[in-house]
Amino acid sequence: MSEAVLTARAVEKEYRTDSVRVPVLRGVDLVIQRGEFVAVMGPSGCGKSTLLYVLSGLARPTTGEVVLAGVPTGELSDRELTRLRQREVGFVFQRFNLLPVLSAEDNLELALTIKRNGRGPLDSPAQLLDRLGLAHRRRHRPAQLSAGEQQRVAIARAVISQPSIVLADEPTGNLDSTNAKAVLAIFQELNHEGHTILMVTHNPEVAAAAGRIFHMLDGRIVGEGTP
Amino acid sequence: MPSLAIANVLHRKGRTAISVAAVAVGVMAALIFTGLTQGTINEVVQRMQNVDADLAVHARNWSLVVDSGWPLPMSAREKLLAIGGVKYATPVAATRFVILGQGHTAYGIDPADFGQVGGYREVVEGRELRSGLEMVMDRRLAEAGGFQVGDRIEALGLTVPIVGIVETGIPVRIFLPIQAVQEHIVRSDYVTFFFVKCTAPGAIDATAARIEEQLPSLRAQPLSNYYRVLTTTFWGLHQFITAVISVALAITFLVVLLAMYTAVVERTREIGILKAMGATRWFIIREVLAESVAICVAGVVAGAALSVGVKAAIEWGFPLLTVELRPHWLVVAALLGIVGGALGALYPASVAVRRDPVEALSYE
Repeated sequence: MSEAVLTARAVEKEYRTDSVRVPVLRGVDLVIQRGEFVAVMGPSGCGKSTLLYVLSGLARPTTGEVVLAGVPTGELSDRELTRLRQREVGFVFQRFNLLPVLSAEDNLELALTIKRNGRGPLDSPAQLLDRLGLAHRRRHRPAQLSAGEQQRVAIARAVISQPSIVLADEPTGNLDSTNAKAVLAIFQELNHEGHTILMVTHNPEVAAAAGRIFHMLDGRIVGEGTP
Repeated sequence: MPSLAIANVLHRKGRTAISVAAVAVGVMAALIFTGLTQGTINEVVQRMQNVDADLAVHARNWSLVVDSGWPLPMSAREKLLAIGGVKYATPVAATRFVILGQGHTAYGIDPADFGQVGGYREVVEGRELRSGLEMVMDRRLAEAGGFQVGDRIEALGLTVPIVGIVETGIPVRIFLPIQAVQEHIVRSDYVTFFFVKCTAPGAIDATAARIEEQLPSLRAQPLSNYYRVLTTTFWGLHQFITAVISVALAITFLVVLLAMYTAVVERTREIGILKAMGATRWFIIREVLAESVAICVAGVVAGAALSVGVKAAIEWGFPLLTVELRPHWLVVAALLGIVGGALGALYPASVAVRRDPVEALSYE
């Protein structure tokens, strides 16, 4: 029986600057089931990243409802929302966003320290980095790693605490084609192991790595399909 | 668990070094100003308490610490000896010599009284006082000025030979025969005050009361009160030192505040990353405070080491000054430095936790 890990119902989000209201999400509905690898594809500026922020609880929707790991987020306090994100969400960013002063291994250790969800680590940081072909880079800081290596560390950081869902924001956007393929292969492998992944991208070739694709335009989901 | 705070401190070496140096200077200033004030006062008090006497008897409305002159006739000695409880009364005609550009009190005493007034300190070079225009000085002044027995000191229009150098610890650094002081400087048989020894230690207060009752123009002060007398006389100095320490700590506080504020602004994106990972407000506050405390602890250690160096430099450059570095002052300075640094980090920490994570993640 399938289980919804993430649900968005009629989610709208607008930003206000002085007297100007800028609608970014205009009524998004979607459901992500546990174990799915889903892509949200659309052009730049269509609201993909904002959708990820709203789904993860980093930003609150202006109207509508988000249910994350079975918990409706609308009534949660900031503190409760932080705790929920801590337990249930792993992030992968376009710009990797590793902490520059920590080694690859320490970035993973820090994630384990922050993200306590009772599930235990997927692997030890050293073993996980080894699995991703980074055993020899464990003690290197991000500035000493290539872009592809940094993104692999970022993926390891996102999954090490076994969150309910991994949210990836243009994860191949700063990579060359070889590294982009490698990162997508890792996502697919993780998905085969049971991890739920929601990735946003503007690139149809990248979206094709997912099992299901939502098409987004001007803040709305305008279509759904499979690669 | 990796320490993000320590990693940040080690990674940003320039900022860390400047912040640590600022805290170190604040701690050093607090330690040195306190140590110099207390060290000098305590050294003077200790020397005065080496005198084998219980009371200093002087004219009423006259200060043992700051006033000069010779307000008492020598005949007052007989009156003091006639009062019950007084074992002996030693007259002192004090004057002031400028040596090495600094004023030094000199006591004119009866050479026979040198043992008790000098706290029975040994003559380490030359001989004791005898008569005529001659002086003995303590070893610290002799070493500071490079004086030796046989050297002549020019002061008050007089040329006074040094006949002896005495172990450090005598109440003033120069002694002359009282007769010479009275003949060449006072030009009368008046004196400045009397050291009075009581017949029994338990009789000091009663004897002092009797002296003041029977000789109402005099004041009898126990030498055990000399610290209080000094600190009361120089209460303004304490306020000045407190002000200096406060300014030093305020600078420490502001430097840490600025350093941590800059660090928080620099790391806006990192704070966004931490929030995206689910870091709580407390986690972020703790990291900012831990970084600040790490800087302050390093600053306190550096400040303590710097203080030892500055103390040595002061005592080398100004050998007559005493700087006391006591462990409990270091503890107080350390606490003030660390608490001040933590307070300085509170505002930056509050700025950090209030950052909007989405804006922080897009911060360039």
